[in-house]
Amino acid sequence: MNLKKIGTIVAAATAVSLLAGGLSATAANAATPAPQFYLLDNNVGNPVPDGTVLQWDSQVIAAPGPGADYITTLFKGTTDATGVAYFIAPQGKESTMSAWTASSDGALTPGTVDIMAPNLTLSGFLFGNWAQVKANGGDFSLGFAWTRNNGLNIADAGVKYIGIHVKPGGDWTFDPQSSTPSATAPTITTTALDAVKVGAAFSQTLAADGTAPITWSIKDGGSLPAGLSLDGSTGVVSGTPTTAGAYSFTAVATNSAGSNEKAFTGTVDAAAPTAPTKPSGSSANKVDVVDPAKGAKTITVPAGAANKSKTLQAWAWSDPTNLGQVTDDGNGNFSVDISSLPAGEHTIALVAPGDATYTVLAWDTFTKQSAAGDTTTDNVDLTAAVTASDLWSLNAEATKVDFGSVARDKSVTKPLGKVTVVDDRNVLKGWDLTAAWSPFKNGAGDEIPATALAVAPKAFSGYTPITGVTVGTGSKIASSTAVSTLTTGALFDADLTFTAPKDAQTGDYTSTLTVTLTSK
Amino acid sequence: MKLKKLAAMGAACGIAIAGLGVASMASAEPVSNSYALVGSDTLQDSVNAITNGTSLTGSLVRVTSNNKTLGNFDAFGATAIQTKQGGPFFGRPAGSGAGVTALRASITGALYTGNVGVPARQITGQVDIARSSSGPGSNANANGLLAYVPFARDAVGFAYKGGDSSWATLSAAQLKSIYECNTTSVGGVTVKPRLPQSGSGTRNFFLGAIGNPALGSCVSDATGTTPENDASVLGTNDLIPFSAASWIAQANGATGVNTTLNSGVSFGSPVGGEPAFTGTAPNLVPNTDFYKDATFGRDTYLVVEYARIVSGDAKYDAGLANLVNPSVSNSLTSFGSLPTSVGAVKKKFGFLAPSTTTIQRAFATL
Repeated sequence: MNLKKIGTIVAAATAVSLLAGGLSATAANAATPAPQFYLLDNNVGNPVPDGTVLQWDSQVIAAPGPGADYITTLFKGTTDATGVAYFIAPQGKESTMSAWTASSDGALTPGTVDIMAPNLTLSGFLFGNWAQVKANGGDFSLGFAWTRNNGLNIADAGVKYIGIHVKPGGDWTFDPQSSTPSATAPTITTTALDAVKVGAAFSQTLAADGTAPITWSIKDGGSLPAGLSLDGSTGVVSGTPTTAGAYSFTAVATNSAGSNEKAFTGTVDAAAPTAPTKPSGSSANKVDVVDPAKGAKTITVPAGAANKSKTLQAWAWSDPTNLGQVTDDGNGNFSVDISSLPAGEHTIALVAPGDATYTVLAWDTFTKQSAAGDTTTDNVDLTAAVTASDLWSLNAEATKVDFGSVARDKSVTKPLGKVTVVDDRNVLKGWDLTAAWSPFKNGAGDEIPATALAVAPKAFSGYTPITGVTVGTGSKIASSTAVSTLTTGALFDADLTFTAPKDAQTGDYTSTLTVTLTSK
Repeated sequence: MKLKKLAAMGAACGIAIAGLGVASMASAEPVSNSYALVGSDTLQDSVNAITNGTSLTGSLVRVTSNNKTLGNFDAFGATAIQTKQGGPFFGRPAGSGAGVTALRASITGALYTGNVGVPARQITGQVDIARSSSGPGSNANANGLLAYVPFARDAVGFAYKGGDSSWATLSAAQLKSIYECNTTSVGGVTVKPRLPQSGSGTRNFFLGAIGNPALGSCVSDATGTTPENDASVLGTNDLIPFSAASWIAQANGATGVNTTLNSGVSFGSPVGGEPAFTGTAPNLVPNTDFYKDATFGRDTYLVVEYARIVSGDAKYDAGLANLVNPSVSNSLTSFGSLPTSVGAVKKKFGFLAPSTTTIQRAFATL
């Protein structure tokens, strides 16, 4: 189709279209606020949101409904239709082909007189004065028409169109499409939290009416019970409460249309008991349990007429011990097997099976005597007097160590000889054995520093130190914890290595080594 | 292309386009009023459909550019074509290689021969896009002046006429031996290997996939002009490389000509255990696992001058850049899933989405 072709159809097209598509389309348009078609993007088929500024080449398709699911829904034609035309027309001139500003050929879905998702992208219009629309802008109708007579006339099925508003340059918007109902602000419908108990897993979904998506939050100033948290996207309050006591918070539900608040108050219950509290003193429901005879395996708890014909749970202390269920004799007297209990004083209590509060219905204390078969104990006093020699002595057997002649920068090693420590005191405290020595001097007044002598302690040959006695290093020859060396003593020795300094004057040098035994 | 030129053409081209409506879509020969495409026979039918408009998916799908139609020229037909108003007649580029050569000549101004029946002509500006059923191969270059833009995923097998049941699946090694004329009989039936003309992307891809055989003397048309993807050229017990997409498109009636209906012709798979398609005509469906095969599956391309699609370059042409930008809805290289999308049409033609949308550059010099 081209300009010339459009021009030739003016007379015929005007007459037919006013009777056929033109009037029917206008009437339909007035009867319903819904658009005659919805604009979808040609990428994933989403509705183009109202107010979107589209570009001249933005790819848009028309569908009978607002979403990709409608793309394959056909616009139903009439049997006289043989073709399709897309148009940009002055508003009010949609059914007048000769008045269309621009047009392009469409196509019927093969084998039908229907149209599937016509592509109304403005840059796809090939005929007419689309360039003027793009350059100057203006208010137009964008639509498509069923045609007949080789495109000369509009078929009975008529036209479908929407209003568009083109800005100079080609950007455009379209009349709002009432496909999307306006959003409704949320109203929180949850009235209270379910029972909250310390240690018990909790989960509850806060609910609200209103348009999705709804997000959730806790208003500043309040807080969920400790241990619980709120999922902002789902409204799920979940977690395991950790602290008993009152709570108060305000939940806020928000969507695109507004928000709604609701206050929640309540109490986190204490953790459920797992055993009755040990009754004592003036605790209620004390009865009189007769102490069992020696060897008796049961006791009778006279729980009274109030508990007759019942099956109760028996507990016994020190630590609560579940003795299992017991059934009365028809008169409220419960026989409890105490064979698992050790001899001694016990508290016995009866509670109703399954009673989460473990309310004590009858209790008393009793003493179980030891009986044959019980584990028994008895004591035998043992005495002994420990004696000691009370010896404390030190003896270095050698009185002199002679290194002989030692050349400068040479060393000579000699044994110190046996050193005996005896610690057999009445009160053992342990000890330290140390050595100290003076610088070496000769008659001429020359001196070799004490560092010329190195001491390497060791156990005396043939002696193995007893546990607690340790051989040391250097000047610390040995030490001991509070153990007795007995009278034979602990025997030590040491390798003494003398090194003649390079700068030492010749001569006979002497020094004194002193061993010291110190009590800890 | 300058705006002034567009405006001038817009006024003059209406009559020519009106003629398009009554001509066969598969033999679009009027001049283009915007961009011109030439080259691969494998891609020509699908590109004809999306540039000329098709209702194959139920909805009219047509790729245009700034209110202008495109001109897509077949690989075979009259020996010469005129692609632009007032432009020269020049030898019709027959195949992927010839299409790229024509595009290069259109850029450089070098004389283009096309085919022996038409004198060499200068065709500057006469070709904008080359259809190529194969990638740039050894011409790939990181700084290349041409851009190979992935168009769709094809796979190559072979068509044969006659033969026996064992011909339905022939390994790459068997096919190489056949084209080297070392194997002359398969299943007790003498096999005659055939080849499309040398510019055929399908031919070049197939020969590479089977191991680049040294063509034996039994390949009678190794230097001939046999069109690609045309089962009507097959004589009894002939075997020829064939695009799976082209076979599916023809069998499904997406193309104007259906050579798969020729008596005794079948499509063979070189991928063990994977037929090229499932279903029966006219509802053949590409077998994804066959197309995914690294050896016999291939991405096909539209080739353009790189400078024309790079924003900021003096040659930058937004219209052309949008046409080959896969992220632009309704571009030639897009592959959407809606029935109104270009991708839906390509699937009707036996193509799947390309393995990548990454452009390959090629030809350091033109």
